[in-house]
Amino acid sequence: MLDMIKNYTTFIDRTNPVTKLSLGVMIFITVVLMHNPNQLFYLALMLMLTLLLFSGVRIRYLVLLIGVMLAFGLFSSAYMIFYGEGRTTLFSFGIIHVTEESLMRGIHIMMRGLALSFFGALIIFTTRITDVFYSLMQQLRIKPKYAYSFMAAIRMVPIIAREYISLRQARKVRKPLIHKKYVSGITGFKTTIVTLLSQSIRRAWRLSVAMESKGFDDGPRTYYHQTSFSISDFWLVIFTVLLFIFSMIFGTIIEPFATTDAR
Amino acid sequence: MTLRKGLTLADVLITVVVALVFAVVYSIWGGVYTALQPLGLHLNELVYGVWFIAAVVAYLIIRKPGVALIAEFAAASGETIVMLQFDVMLMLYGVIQGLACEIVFALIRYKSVSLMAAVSAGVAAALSTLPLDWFYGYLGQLETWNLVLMIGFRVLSGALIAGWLAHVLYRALKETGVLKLVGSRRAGHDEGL
Amino acid sequence: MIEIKNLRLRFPDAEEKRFTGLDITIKEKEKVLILGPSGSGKSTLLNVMGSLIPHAMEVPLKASVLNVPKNGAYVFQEPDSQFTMPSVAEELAFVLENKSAPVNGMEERIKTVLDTVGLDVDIRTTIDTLSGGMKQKLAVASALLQNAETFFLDEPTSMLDESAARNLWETVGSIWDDKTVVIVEHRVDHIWDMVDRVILMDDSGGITADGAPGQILEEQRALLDAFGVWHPYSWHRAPAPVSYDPGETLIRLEGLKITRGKRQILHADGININKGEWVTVEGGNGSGKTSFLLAIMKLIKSDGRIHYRDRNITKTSEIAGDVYPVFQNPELQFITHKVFDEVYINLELHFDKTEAMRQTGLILERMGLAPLSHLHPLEISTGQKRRLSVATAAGGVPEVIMLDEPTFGLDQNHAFRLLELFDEMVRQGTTVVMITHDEEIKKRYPSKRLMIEDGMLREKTGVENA
Repeated sequence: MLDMIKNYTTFIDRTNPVTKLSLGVMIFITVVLMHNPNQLFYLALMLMLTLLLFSGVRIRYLVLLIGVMLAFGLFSSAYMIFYGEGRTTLFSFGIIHVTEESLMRGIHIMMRGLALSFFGALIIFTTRITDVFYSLMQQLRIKPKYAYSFMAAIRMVPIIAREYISLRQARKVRKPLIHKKYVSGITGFKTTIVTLLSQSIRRAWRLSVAMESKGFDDGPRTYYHQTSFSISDFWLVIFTVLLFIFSMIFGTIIEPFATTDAR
Repeated sequence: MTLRKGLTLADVLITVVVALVFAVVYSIWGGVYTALQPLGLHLNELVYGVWFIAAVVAYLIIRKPGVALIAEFAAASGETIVMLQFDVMLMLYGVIQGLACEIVFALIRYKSVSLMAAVSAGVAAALSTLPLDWFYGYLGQLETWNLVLMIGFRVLSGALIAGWLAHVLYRALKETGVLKLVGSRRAGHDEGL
Repeated sequence: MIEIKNLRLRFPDAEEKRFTGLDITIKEKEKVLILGPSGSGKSTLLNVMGSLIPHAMEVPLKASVLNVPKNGAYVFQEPDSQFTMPSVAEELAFVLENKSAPVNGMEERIKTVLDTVGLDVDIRTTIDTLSGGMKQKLAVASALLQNAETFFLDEPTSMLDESAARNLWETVGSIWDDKTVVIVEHRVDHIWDMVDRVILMDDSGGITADGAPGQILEEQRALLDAFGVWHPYSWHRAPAPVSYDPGETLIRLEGLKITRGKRQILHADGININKGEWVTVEGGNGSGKTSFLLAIMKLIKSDGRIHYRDRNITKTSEIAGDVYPVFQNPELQFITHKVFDEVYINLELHFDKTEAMRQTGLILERMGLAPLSHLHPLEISTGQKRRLSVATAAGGVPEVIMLDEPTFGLDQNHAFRLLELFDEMVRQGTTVVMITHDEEIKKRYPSKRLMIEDGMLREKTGVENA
């Protein structure tokens, strides 16, 4: 499916998923510890540029995605903008009380979310999901039992979604014939989930039996897809570290915001 | 015949699939969470419990150590898998919430499937990520009433959705007979053969 | 060789034992077919013989002799629950990885085995896009890669149509010479002449007959019929064809077009379905039969007009009470948590309580579901679920009932009982529209046959029955 929206691949596609995941965690920690909105601004900006240039995805999909991310980022920081503490009032209406300080803090929280979302999208667009589990087994020695459970379960996602659609259709045709208490409200929700769960548990159980019948156990095995670290991993780490350093420097030279601490 | 100890392949696979069912349902209803955010009144916190309902349901049906944690991790990565959105923070939160449930279940030694056990785990998971949110979202600098509202809603949601609703689903699921296939078994059931 | 003596087995939580002292021996390279009524423990026995019980399934058992192969290979019934990986290559590699086979040469072995089973697809193909028949061939390929001496086939064709089933058995026959093969099936017409031996089980988990296929067919036909096993002469006992008295037109289709994405998949123009008719809808796999049914119910988008009694139908609720569809996955149609309620809720709005309960009882009785009234609809067997989903239609008193392969996977007795029920409904003026692959049904019952060929739905002319 990804192939349909991708134009080209870059060294990030060739990076080991474990490296990308670790960098993801590193960016998260950095972002939480960063209180200077000027530096965070450059970090988020550069991560957005990285997404635009290195994901290989067609530009119009990316623009759309970034637009959605901006909107969601704004929503999720609304609580701070409207109700955060602060002294310099900018706007007040009923219980809403926007201050300079709370606005700044809100924007800061939003930029945190955006930086993480940009990097997350970059990972999604440059990684095959089965490779994640193959490399978790090969590089991080995760037990095959866990990795293959995830891979097998992923195969079931479209089946679950199809079942949900059929279930909705079946209810639509039964609805006119029966009392609506059976299909509406919490009862309807409960029976829907229970049917989906029951079907999926049965299927998962059968699949686990089938997997064991094919000789699967938690012991040593070989891997059809070999994953390893390469020079690309080195470049991506260097690249990310450079992003950090640049955002630190730019953040103190050209300051888009008046304050240097969002707290 | 010896019973296999620990988590079997079936246990793990069922746990992950249960979590993914919730992820699919959630992705269909997911707009609700976002739609409740713009007011900033934390109404979205009322549905916060759906993030860790999978952990509680998976524990109730399998009743083994580790299940809640795996379920929570799977539910968090479920968003990546179902909606193609990778969110480091969500994964981290999933692990913390899973651990919180796991601690509650360990305290009751993986024996009880009572409503209280489910509700306690739900509340524990709801509270578990507050410290992180405190740092990430500058909660200390929020007007007090707003902060209280947020924590209140979150705990309520943990108890109601991840606790009570999870238990309702578990009981209904038990009626379907599918749970005979899964979970921890008593030893010595081959007597009389 | 497989040798089991005095096998005793009981499912956890079950009252009664499944087996109480069963003996069975299967010789090297023998091809054995195990038959029996549903619930006779055929599959359980198969799982014991391949040591899935007690290793993969924790079911307690005891036996004085239990000599079973360690590396049996299985082909199961459902394609959806026997594959682990997303693509063909990865799935077959999974088997090789399990055996710690060297990575070099994996791809070569995968291509060779696909060739052997006659599955001509690119190895990177997503399994989800394969047809049912192809998926089962992939399962056979995967079994071959296990290098097992014994194959266990657990109803491998029950989800396949006629031609795919025949094709699969031809494939299996071409690779099985040096293997011991144990088969559980209830559709046996394609393999009856291929196997060496037929074992007949009864409903209490014992073996009642054991012999060459010809001999069993000669001597035990009454027993085969009683157990509902399909055999080459089954249709001699089928309910007699009906005479029809079609009434006014109920459904009229004008220029109906169904498109998926940008591709048109079905076009139907000037098709009438009348009161009291028995209509079959026929066509190959993926020809759009199910879409046709969904389109009439307005559950998927379509262009053109659908009339019901001169009403132009624009949304589901305008047609839903009069036309009642029964989908292929019966479990998705269930709403309540009791078999009884599932039928009852359709009747409670039409009759007073006592009458509704009486009628529910009658319907369940006819469908052989009365003893299961108190169970959860998801708890009963697949065949029972299918019957229950038809029962909900019988209770709803609709004018037209549309069924998506209602006899699929049913044993002989239950299939015949359904056909009798349809016959009765048609005689009382209900219209029955059914999608079916079954040649015998197509030949015997319909008053009108609709065929889908090259994306066109046409009425097949020259139906003798009417």
